[in-house]
Amino acid sequence: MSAQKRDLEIAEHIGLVHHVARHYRSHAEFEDLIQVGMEGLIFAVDHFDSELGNEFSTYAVPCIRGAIQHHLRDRTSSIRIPGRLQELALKVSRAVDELTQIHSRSPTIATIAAHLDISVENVLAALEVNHTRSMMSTDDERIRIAESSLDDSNLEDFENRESVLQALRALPKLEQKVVLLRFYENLTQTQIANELNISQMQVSRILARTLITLRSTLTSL
Amino acid sequence: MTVALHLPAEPEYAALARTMAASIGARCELTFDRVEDARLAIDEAFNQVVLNAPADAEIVCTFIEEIGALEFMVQSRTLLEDALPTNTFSWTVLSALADELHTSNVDGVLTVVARVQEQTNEAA
Repeated sequence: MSAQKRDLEIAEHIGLVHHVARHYRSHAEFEDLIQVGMEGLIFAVDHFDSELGNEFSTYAVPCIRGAIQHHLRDRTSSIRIPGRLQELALKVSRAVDELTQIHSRSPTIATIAAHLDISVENVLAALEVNHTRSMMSTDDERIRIAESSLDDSNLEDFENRESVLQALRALPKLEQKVVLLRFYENLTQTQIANELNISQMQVSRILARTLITLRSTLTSL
Repeated sequence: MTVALHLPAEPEYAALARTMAASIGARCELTFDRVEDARLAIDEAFNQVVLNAPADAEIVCTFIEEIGALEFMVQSRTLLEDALPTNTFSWTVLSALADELHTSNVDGVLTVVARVQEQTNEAA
């Protein structure tokens, strides 16, 4: 299907997204539901097989509903971050990576603000969004990485060494790796981002989230 | 310049301590990496102090602003008999994040002092 035809198909059926999204109004921001629902619609446009003789809507509605339900399930936290702030966080995240590339060192907050032509307060707000988001969905961070070096790392003698080891082992591989590199190998967040080929904001989000997890695991023992 | 923040000893107030640390870190002209370290460090210190504080305690977070360095102190009345133990995972985390780190307990008041400064790690 040509890109033009695809766009037309999508535009023609936007009404379906609104129709489905309305049912979930009380669960989330309507705009977010539309956005997620659109992903379901696009999936449907790309995968619909008219040869099977069904109406497009018969196929598309479950796709849209599925996308929305998946989204709602995925929100492990009830914390709502306005779309404007999420966008800001994304912009700051990209700027941090760009500026780090250009200057081969981590930028100051003022540099980030000047680069994006926004206030320092806005950059700081983006950082806090990042921290808050760390408690939410992790879908975009399920990146496969090489075997973690947990077993041969030089964990010092904690009073509760075994429970720390156990708690670390229970973490997903990427989280394990980030924690070990930051707290035991003493790499900076920038260095970890380079090593694991992820963004700095992801590193800081993983650290924040992982510390919360470990804290609750270790204090409940 | 010194700034102080008085907070209830409840974990959810860590967000305010983090925001303040980041904001002052920016004023200190710290890099993104170090601001994030300061934010994580105060979060950890705040939580450790809260964990050992009596229910009605007040936590005082004091920030000292310098160009190139942020020092903060988290303080409250405590149930601990001594300073924070240093053979814990939490202390390892704090040590990795901060360039200087101390804890003390004087007459039932627990203090954690941490300093995050530019360069040290950047040289690598």
